[in-house]
Amino acid sequence: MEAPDHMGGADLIARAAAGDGTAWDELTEQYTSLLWSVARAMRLNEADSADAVQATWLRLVEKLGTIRDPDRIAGWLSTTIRRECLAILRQRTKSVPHDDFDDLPDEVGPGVDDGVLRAERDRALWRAFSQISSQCRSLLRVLMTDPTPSYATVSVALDIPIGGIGPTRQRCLNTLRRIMAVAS
Amino acid sequence: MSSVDDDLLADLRRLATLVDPVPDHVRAAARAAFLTRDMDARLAELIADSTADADFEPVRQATDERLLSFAADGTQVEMTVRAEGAGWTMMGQVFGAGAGAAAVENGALTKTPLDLDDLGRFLITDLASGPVRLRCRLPGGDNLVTSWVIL
Repeated sequence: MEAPDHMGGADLIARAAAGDGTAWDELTEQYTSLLWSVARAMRLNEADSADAVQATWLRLVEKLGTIRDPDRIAGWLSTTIRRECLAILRQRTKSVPHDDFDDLPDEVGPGVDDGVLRAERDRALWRAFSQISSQCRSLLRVLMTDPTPSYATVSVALDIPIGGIGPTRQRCLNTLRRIMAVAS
Repeated sequence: MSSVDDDLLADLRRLATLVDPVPDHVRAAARAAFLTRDMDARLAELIADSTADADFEPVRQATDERLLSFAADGTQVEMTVRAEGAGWTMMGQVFGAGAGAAAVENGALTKTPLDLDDLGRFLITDLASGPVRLRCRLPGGDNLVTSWVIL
């Protein structure tokens, strides 16, 4: 199930570069949820994710006139958000007391918010999601983007080989089902 | 690639939009980024960043200072950034700029003014976290902005 990336990226870039704010708004509408998913998949908390997403858009504004391959805008954005997230993680790690590096809070598997998820099955599914490996959580979190990003985009965003995405996805979903079966 | 998998992923996608949605302020900041477009200023691009040069490993040196260098045609900006108190302190020098007014601006284009001394040096404290850039005027009259730094 590989959905194509959004259409019209090149056209929107060209129009935005010429000063068309409507085209810019449309670009952000199409890709902000992808950027948010990547930041969350990389285990940034909400405030840092917000900074990383904003910085990615600011850099695109800076580069609007010089984007070489506007057809690959999803790839450019994925590369950029990944870099921003790594830079933030490095910086935050420095200010964390030394031996706590492995204990950085994991914000991607939030506690099941009972106020938000009403159906028991939904709660069980989200609980199971928080129990799978961090590798699986990262991949699935990006694949949860609506609309689904292409495997090429996922590969760039998470720096994983494109050929491994399908099998890993299957393995992770199987694990998820197993956890749910045990729990029920 | 089974449809059972697709269905499970669709369920997860639905939950993610409930549990971990893109906050409205993030969408608003994305739209507002377009206002930072500046066709006239010269861009000083980041050419070195002490946090980016090592592999992704916690840096366990005594210093918590981050060193950044930017370059535009004929002009270089050097700065150090460190957390101090509840905010960030930024100090540095715009080589080739003399005394004059400058500013640090954030992603919402809120400007915090500062002064360059006669060697182009500056110091500013209590900056809030988030993306910022330095803006100043060069002797020839051109405006210079650095690329964005996330504090």
